Amino acid sequence: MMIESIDPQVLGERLRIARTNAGLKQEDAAKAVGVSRPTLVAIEQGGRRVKNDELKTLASLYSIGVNQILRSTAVHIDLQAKFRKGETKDQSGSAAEDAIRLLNQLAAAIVELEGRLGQRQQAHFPPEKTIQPGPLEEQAEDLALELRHRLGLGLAPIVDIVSLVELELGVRVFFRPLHYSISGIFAYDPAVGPCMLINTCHPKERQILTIAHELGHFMCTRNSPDVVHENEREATREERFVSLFAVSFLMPAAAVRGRFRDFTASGGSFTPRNLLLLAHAFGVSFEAMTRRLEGLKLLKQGTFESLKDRGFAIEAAKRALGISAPDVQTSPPRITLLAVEAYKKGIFSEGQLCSMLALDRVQLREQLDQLGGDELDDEISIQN
Amino acid sequence: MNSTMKSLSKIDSGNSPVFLDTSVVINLLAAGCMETIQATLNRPLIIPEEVAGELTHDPRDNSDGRTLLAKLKQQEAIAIHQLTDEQLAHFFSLVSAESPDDLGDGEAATLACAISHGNAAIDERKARRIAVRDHNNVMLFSSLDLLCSPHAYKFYGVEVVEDMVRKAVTIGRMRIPPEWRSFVASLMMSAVGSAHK
Repeated sequence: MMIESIDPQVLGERLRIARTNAGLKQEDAAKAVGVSRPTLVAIEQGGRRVKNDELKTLASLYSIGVNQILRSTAVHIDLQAKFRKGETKDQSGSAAEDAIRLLNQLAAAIVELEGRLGQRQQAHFPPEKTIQPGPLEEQAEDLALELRHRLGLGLAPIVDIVSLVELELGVRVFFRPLHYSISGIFAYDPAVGPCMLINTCHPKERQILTIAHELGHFMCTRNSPDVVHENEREATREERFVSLFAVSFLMPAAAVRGRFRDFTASGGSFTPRNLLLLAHAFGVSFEAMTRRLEGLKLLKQGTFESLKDRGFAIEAAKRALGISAPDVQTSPPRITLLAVEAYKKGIFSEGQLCSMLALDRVQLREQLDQLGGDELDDEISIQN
Repeated sequence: MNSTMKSLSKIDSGNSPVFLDTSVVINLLAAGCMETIQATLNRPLIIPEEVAGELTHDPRDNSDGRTLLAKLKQQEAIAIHQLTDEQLAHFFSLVSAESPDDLGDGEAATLACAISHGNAAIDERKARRIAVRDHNNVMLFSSLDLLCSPHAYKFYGVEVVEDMVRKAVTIGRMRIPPEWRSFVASLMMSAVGSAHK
């Protein structure tokens, strides 16, 4: 396909999305290509076809490849618009903006990969719930149990929350190192569905809690995007609800009470060792479990602070007990599997995949190497 | 150097420029040998601007790629090239081709330059497939053709050449073309063997 065969309106819209994703105004883009703002507007609206050299300059300005703009299968979405319109717009520092941009890029990439491989994600979205007036704790617990029941989890600890969320609910989950102040981001777009980006710089227990938190947004405030900041105070009723949901989903009250009783049944005391083991069983941090037990009135309020003040060394205690960090997920990320398959089939080159997945060349090659040799792609005969 | 090594490298003793794709530059940077290769081949090694833009980090230590390229340019180990009008036409044709025959910007720019000038070093297999199928006037080299050239063996000897290859594999995660696999496998095994002695 030559550039001239692309509908100028389609091309213009792609350029507009690329510009807004780059956080640039029309005046900035117009100046870069040496045209007036009305001309840039005309380009974006398809009234005037962009010239090759202008396209190249704009692509460079927007930090996007020309191939990415022209490729017929590329997906162009603007998740950032949701963040700009929503209540979160005043939270955006550059760290949040970078993370939102990355989520946008990865969401577009996975939809394109799925389309090219014929492996569209099946969507099984539960209905969105409205937060009712009244006590939030009970509502959050009820919703968490309802979702657990829908997923067939019962009260058991969750072993692989990522596979659960991806495969059972159709939520796209991405992991990348982000600025430490950002725990995660959630957004929903009709073209992409729900998607979240989780910070791999955070401890694994924190990542799991963030996933559960964003899952809460998906359940209740689906069309309001969210940025979770580290140590964020819950400013709204919705945020408080979602935080309570996350705790209830990971540590259902009935299950935690049951395990607590097991530890204390024969009149025994409840020790930091028990607390560590309980936290490990549910894949949460020591602090999260302590606060859960405080919330359920099984431990005195202030227990965690008291342990901290005593100098209780959590990590040393975990090592002594042989407790290692939980697995956030037990299989490679879905986007990686799709990328590797697309590469092996010759659909995308290394350069294209690096651009789509925001990886450098060596990072991409590591992923290609880790996912095995050619024999894994030999066709197996299916019984008809 | 033995005759087996010589027959595998396709690089000749000409002095026409070689345009380098990102897939090759990463390996040469990983091996720390860009200046070495340029000196031994004694021919211009040219990186299109689009490729330079893809080299964000030094694969050895993750330091800034632009700074590294600027230093190599200053040392005249490489030149950075802006596409001519003719090359731009080829470039746009390659990036806008119908999938799966389209290429990323760096690959397209490298091939576009080589279409008009003759020589490209590209490891990336989709780009090589398109080059072989549609542009058989282009002389295609790989990283290993450059690293294991007769010139490199002559000037630096077997140990230095093999060290460069090992670094390209272990640090750059260099892709190995089928015809080179046996050679690289035995080279890597000999390194393991030496380490255990």
